[in-house]
Amino acid sequence: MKILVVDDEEMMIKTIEFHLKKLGHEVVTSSDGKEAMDKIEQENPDLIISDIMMPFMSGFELLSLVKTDPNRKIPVMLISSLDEIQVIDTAIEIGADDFIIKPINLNELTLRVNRFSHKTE
Amino acid sequence: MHTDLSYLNEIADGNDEFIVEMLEMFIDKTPEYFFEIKKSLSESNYEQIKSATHKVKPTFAFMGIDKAKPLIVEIERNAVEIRNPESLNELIVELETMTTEAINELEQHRDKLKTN
Repeated sequence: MKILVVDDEEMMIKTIEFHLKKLGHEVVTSSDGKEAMDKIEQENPDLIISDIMMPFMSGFELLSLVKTDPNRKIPVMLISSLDEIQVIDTAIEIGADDFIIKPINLNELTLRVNRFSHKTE
Repeated sequence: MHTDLSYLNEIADGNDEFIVEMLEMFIDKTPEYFFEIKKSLSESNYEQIKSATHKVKPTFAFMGIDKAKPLIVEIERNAVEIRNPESLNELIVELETMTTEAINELEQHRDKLKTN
């Protein structure tokens, strides 16, 4: 799968990218929501994994734009901190396909990504 | 010991190059965070303190600096609810002192990995 990872924290991006590449996925990264929209146009990813709190455009805004694009059906997994857990309802309303909580458990990330991997096969 | 690299080692899965890269990111970037929040505190920009602290929080988890967690939580809470510059400053100084000691450990670990 081609996976777009969006996060403004460099170490978080590096970690997710490192792990996903190890699993054999192609990874594209972006450090904010606006740049991510350009990457979606250019790269047409199979899955987007995005943080919620980011500069310029939040993960919610990105999610909303992706989900209202009639030309694309890209699943979106949001990354949330434990203290943001109350926002999960909002994200589900907007159309988030999945969640993962920070600090990320790599086995959990693998399992969650695999679910989408099977859908795109 | 201020740091515990077991989480980072688990991610790295034997790849020392990845560990060195992550250690260098933390060593280089974390002082920038303290510069930013101290500047924000001097400008009474509590929103910026909250968002910068929220952003940096997982990086402490990568380095296993568990003692920093309650301080980080308290800085975030203070920046949102209390907004007391004196107590915030004390918390920031305490976190920075702990982080400086942690960085010393991480530098030693990085140097050891680089010479292997």
